[in-house]
Amino acid sequence: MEHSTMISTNDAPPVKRPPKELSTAVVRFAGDSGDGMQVVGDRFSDSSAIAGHDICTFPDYPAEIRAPVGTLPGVSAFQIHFGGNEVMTPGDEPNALVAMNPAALKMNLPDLAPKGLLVVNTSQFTEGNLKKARYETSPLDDPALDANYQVIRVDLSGLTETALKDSGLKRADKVRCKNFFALGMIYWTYDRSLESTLEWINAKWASKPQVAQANGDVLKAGYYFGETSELIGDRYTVQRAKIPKGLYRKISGNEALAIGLVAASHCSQIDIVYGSYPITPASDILKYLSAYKNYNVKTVQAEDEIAAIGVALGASFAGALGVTGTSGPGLCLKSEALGFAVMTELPLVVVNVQRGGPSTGLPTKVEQADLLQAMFGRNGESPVAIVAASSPSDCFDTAIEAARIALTYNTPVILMSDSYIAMGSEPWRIPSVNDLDEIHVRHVLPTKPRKVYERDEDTLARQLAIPGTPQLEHQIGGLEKNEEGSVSYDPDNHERMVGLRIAKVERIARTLPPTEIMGNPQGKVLVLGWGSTRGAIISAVKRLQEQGSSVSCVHLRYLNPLPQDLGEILSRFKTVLMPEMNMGQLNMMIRSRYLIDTVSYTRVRGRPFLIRDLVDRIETLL
Amino acid sequence: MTPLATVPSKPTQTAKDYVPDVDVRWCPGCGDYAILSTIQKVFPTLGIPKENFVIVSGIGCSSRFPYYMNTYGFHSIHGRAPTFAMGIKIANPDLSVWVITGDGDGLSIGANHLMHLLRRNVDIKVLLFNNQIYGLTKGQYSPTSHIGHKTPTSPDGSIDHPIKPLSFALSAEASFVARTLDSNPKHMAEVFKAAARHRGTAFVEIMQNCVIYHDGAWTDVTDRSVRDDRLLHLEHGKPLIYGKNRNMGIRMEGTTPVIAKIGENAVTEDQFLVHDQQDPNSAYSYMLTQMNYPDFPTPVGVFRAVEGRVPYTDLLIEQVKSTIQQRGRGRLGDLLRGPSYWEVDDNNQISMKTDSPKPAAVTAPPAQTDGVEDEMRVMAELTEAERRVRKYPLLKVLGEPIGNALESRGTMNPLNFSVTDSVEQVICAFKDNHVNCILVLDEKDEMVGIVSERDVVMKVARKSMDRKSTPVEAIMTPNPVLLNDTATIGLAFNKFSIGRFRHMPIRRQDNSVGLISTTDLLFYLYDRVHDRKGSVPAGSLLDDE
Repeated sequence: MEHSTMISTNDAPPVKRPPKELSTAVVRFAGDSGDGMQVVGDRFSDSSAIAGHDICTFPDYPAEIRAPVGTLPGVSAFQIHFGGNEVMTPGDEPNALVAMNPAALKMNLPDLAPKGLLVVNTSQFTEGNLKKARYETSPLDDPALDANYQVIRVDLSGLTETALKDSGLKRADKVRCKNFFALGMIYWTYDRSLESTLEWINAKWASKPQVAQANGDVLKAGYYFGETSELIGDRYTVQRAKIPKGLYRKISGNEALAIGLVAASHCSQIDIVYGSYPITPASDILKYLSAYKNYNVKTVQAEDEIAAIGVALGASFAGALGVTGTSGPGLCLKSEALGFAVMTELPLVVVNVQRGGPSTGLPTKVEQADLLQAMFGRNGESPVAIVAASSPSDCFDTAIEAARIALTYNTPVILMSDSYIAMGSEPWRIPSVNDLDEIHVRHVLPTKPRKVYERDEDTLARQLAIPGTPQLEHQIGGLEKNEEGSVSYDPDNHERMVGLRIAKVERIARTLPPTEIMGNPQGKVLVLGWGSTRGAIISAVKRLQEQGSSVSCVHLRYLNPLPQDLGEILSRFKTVLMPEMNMGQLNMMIRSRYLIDTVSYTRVRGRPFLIRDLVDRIETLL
Repeated sequence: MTPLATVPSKPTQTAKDYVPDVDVRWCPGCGDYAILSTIQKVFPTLGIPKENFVIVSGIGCSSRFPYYMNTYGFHSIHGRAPTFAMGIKIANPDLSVWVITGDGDGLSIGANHLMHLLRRNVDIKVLLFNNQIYGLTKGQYSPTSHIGHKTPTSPDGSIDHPIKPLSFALSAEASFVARTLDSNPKHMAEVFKAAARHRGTAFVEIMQNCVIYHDGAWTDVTDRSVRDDRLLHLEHGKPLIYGKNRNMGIRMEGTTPVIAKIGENAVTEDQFLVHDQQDPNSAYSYMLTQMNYPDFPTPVGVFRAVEGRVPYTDLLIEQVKSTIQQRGRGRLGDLLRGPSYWEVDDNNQISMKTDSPKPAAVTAPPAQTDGVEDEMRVMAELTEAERRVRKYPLLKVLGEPIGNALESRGTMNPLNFSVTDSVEQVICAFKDNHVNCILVLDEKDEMVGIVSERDVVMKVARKSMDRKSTPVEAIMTPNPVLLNDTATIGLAFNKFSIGRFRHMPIRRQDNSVGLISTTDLLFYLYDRVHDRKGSVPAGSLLDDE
């Protein structure tokens, strides 16, 4: 019987090998700016989170919106690290790379782990595209490629077109779906359910069912291609993370920051006025906040960076909390107004989403080289509080903290973020509204005459009287004033006021929580960091601690004032190593403040630290 | 009991109210003095509470203006006054915001901001003092200085083509544009009042004299001997006529304005242009701004006052309102959760959630669902009374014991006097201790009455009385209405409103007596709204849904 022959032992289908188990994995999608790499990266992140993995993502795209198709500057990539352990960085090297064209291959192949999975879209390896990517011969013909990696050559464009032959779409529209074919293959490789992505596709193109259907079909086609073609040798299941009970979402740094500001408004019952001028990578904060008009938030897209901070500070004078957001070049322009905020002692939050500098520098790449500018970039003795966020979700807490300091001490606060955490995302355990601490704000009531620079005894904050309050009319401005609020050029008064402004910012340290040390409270090496290097530093330190090394780390949120207990903590370690994505700026501050011989480890490559680089550097000190 | 007198109507404002106790430090003879005193006279006439004025300036001589006005003032940084003013207006649209600037501050370093303020039509008044010179930096040429103007930084004469402030304003789509002169306070007052009435940005150029660095900047048109022939007073609906003999005027020849004299070449008055400040097309007013002495008489007055363009802040508030209408007042819990999120349970099982409507069934009590609770669902579970309290949280405060208010804002240990103490002693006590109500005790230390300032006013001031010999018993309010500290604040309000008095003794658990006034209660409510102890959010006061 025909049936029996089909199932005869001779013809039996090969027994599927069970998937290999991994603790974590790193996948990178790379292609042309128009290939939809950020879209599939986002989808992969979401489905990873829903599958119970911890994740960390790293979108990496060019500053040009659409560089010429197929060229090296036009390559856009998205890397995601997911797994069962705590995932704190986007991963040092991808285990799997999808390269949609020769340029993407050229830019990204050097990062791929040895024996890593490489999926290439052969249909784009034409003579013209090879030339654009500055390949003389096709790298796909190089035997070394197959010797070093697990290469899967797929005609993604052709297969996508075939899958959609009955869809009724135009050819160009069919080919545009090829990113989902690649995503489907990777889903199969990592034993991932398609369900949440199909739901997303249907919701995204709800008004265009034909497009939704096509993208969904292509996703499935890619998945089944992986299953049936047997080109992909190994499949993997990646461990799930042990996640505490609760509600979670995926969040990027910029969105967390925007929501954090709204939460600060809720906690303080003070309205937010956000003035900003579009600048990469801070623009999205304005995008988010402008959609929150029903949350006591008003936004202004100002005519320039100076107007943006002017609107914010004016709003603070009128009783709101003014906030302005920018990146390094914009912070330069805001300097004078920031000094004015110091002088008038009004609450203000300035968000600086740092990027590579100086000048226009590397607009879409990461660096943390604006710290000394934040500290000192104004005329005169002009102290401001500085806080730094260390991960995408930490932007939420840091925003509330910045607002708390600004409103409690009536001082400008600079909040340092950077492009890596602003654009990157991670799962976030959604906090309960009831767990947020109140920010206590009390303006002067029209009860008695008061001095314009009368101060709270605890905080040294100037007490604010808000325009519109009867009997409290007064004038403030950039000229030095005495306590009564009159212009004063008296030498004693100036010296006293300079001292008071500095002392006020120093007072903030009294309300800071004790500094957390990860690891032993004393030992050979302490790694001291700030900002977005946290994930890489903690991962490296943990790895070494597991090997029994005497290394601990401290990560600073408060940069000015520094925590009161920091000096004592530093003194307990033989060596203090300070990794920074600048040429040693916090290092300079720490050395001058505590007179200790710290070791600076600097990188200014426009990319986050790799864990292995940090491990290597720390090992030289052990 | 002291009856509550009718509330005196708010005293009328006078110019004096706006004069602060400081020395004005402009040079003697500076044109700024006349502008300052005109503003001080105009402000009281505008019907705006004094505390609602905010004067914002940048840097320059004119920018010291806020220090010389007894209003809220913000002396900011060079050229940026419009930005701060806009932030102030956005944060509190009820404020009347005035920007004081000069030709350097407003048209050089700050021209960009001025342009954007004008195009947005923010409801802010801008007074630009134009003296064609940098005064505070000691006499360098400014963007309105004439070609050839010799100054320390242009020893061979300026080669910078000057800008015409009003032309600049109109090219930025200004909806109100006017010019006035420091030597004519009456004219200034009229123009300032028109500016104040305008809804939107009002831009006023003031021809102002700098007595030190550019004395006589405008005398070629403003001097008493020539002004009738060289100034053209614009009046809405009236022909463009000027001259000592009122026989000169402006008429059009093709697309060009020309000067014509009545009687010459058969010119009659009806050939002259008739001023229309409301012309929606700004070409006509732009033409006027381009006319200057010596080619033309220099026009003064309101060039353009076009109503109907909705001011920026109104549009912003409208967007806020309509967003609230469409999506409801934002609840932080919703925002934190976002459009899609997932739940991890005790067994590390994950389930996706989206913002689709929640099932009506209620499984958990509201207290446990905290920040992400569905408030609508919770509301449905409550009784009507509970719902009202949630909707109007001040009701909750009214239900609190009056003891809370006494402790926080009232007088815990009021001064007390014996019935035999003299009226004089009580009056001295009022004065020395800054109190306005005291208790009167009998020989057993039981309270038998109170004396308030009103008692003194009504019963002492009017009568001829020997204060030293008259006992306080004679003027006290005997057996005043008294509440225990466990009574509700609502009841206290009720007593105040029925009895029409302003002070009430409150008996505490330990039998001691404190005093609370209507003012204390108001402050207590204000505190409760602002410090949220016990969660009365300020926003909820405004919730009228």
